[in-house]
Amino acid sequence: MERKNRILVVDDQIWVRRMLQEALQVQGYEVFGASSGFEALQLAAEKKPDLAVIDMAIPGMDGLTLLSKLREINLNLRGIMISGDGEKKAVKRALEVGAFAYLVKPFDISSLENLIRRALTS
Amino acid sequence: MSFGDSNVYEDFFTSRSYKVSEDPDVFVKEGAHTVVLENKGCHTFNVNTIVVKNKKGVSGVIVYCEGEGKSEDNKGASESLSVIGELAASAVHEIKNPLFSIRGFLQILNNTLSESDKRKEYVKIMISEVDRLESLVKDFLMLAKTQNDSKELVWVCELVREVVELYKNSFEKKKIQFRLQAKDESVFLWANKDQLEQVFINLLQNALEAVEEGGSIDVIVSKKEEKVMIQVKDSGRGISPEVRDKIFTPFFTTKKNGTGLGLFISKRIVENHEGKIYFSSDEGKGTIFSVEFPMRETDR
Ligand SMILES: Nc1ncnc2c1ncn2[C@@H]1O[C@H](COP(=O)(O)OP(=O)(O)OP(=O)(O)O)[C@@H](O)[C@H]1O
Ligand SMILES: [Mg+2]
Repeated sequence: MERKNRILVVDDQIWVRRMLQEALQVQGYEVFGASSGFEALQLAAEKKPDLAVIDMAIPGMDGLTLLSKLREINLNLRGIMISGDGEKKAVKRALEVGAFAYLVKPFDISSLENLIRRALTS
Repeated sequence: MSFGDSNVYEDFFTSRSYKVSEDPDVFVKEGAHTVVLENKGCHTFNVNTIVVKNKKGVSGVIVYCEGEGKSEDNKGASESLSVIGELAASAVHEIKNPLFSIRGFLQILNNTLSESDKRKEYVKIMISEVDRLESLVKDFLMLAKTQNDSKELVWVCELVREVVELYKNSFEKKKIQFRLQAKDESVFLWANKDQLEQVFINLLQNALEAVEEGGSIDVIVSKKEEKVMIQVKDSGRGISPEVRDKIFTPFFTTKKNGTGLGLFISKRIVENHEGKIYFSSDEGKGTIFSVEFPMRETDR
């Protein structure tokens, strides 16, 4: 059997994280959740995700630092940043660090699903 | 102030042991108001009170102050009140996450129900109510932003590009042809960046909501004599003659989930920058909103 695409969801808000996990699982991905950058790094080492959905404001290390670390380990990892505000500087920095996209909450779950599909085939 | 049934803000004040005395039955009321701060005596502020109403009644109150409180012992009191805006902004920010997860779970639920299921209808109603709350929250945040008045030299084209970046997904989704025409790259303005950005966001959002799938939106930045002009042009449905003189009024909206604060706030911001905002519209063909700012010596 072909390996399912693996997604890591990092958000410290438990219900936001759970909601994203559920929605992506329904789409047929294998999904893991982490509430901090540290937890995410540990989980990533073990599960080797293909894509990470990361909240910009997570405790400990911020979302962008996490993305750069994840991409140091696996340059093919796609990152989608999500954030409560579309702070312009942050958007720019995210794209510089190699994020595939930046989504401002609230967004439609189907937009995230479309982006993920695109990210995984690009 | 007795805030009627606007619990959020009442809680907000009581939790900080502020009580504000004010007639609650205002729609939009501006001017000098007396504010009673518990334990701190009575102060007069120039207050803008905006009661946010929708079809179902009062859903919130926004109070903000200009100038200093005049009173016996009020050092810090006006400061505390300006902090309210900031706190309200972060409180409102915190509301976003739960709303987002509620909406997401409802969408998941919605996808599992068949069209004939009555529960699907309920879920759809809940989603549209959450959308309403979200748009209200967004407008509250926007108002909080207009509190900060610090100005800096803003590179207009860059700011427009940054805002457009945020809309890229929405444009793609609606297959909109977007063009940015910067007739002059080197346009700078002495302005409050957050507020200016808010104006572009409001105009782009309106344009986006007005166009059909496959329509076009143009942003044109130009410099003429002593003026900077930014125009947002859409190929949307246009503004009907009956409502043309109403669109800048607070709470005027023709949209199902609109709050009707976007243009009202934009106008305030533009006027705070000594600018002008106006539009021309052709029903069924499209609309152009123009914002004009005077340039100062240092901007050129
Ligand atoms: N580009 C446009 N094309 C057509 N109609 C427009 C356009 N911009 C504004 N309008 C009309 O003006 C009204 C007021 O706009 P405004 O931005 O103040 O509020 P809103 O968009 O309805 O709600 P919100 O508070 O979410 O912005 C709109 O409801 C719409 O009828
Ligand atoms: Mg609007």
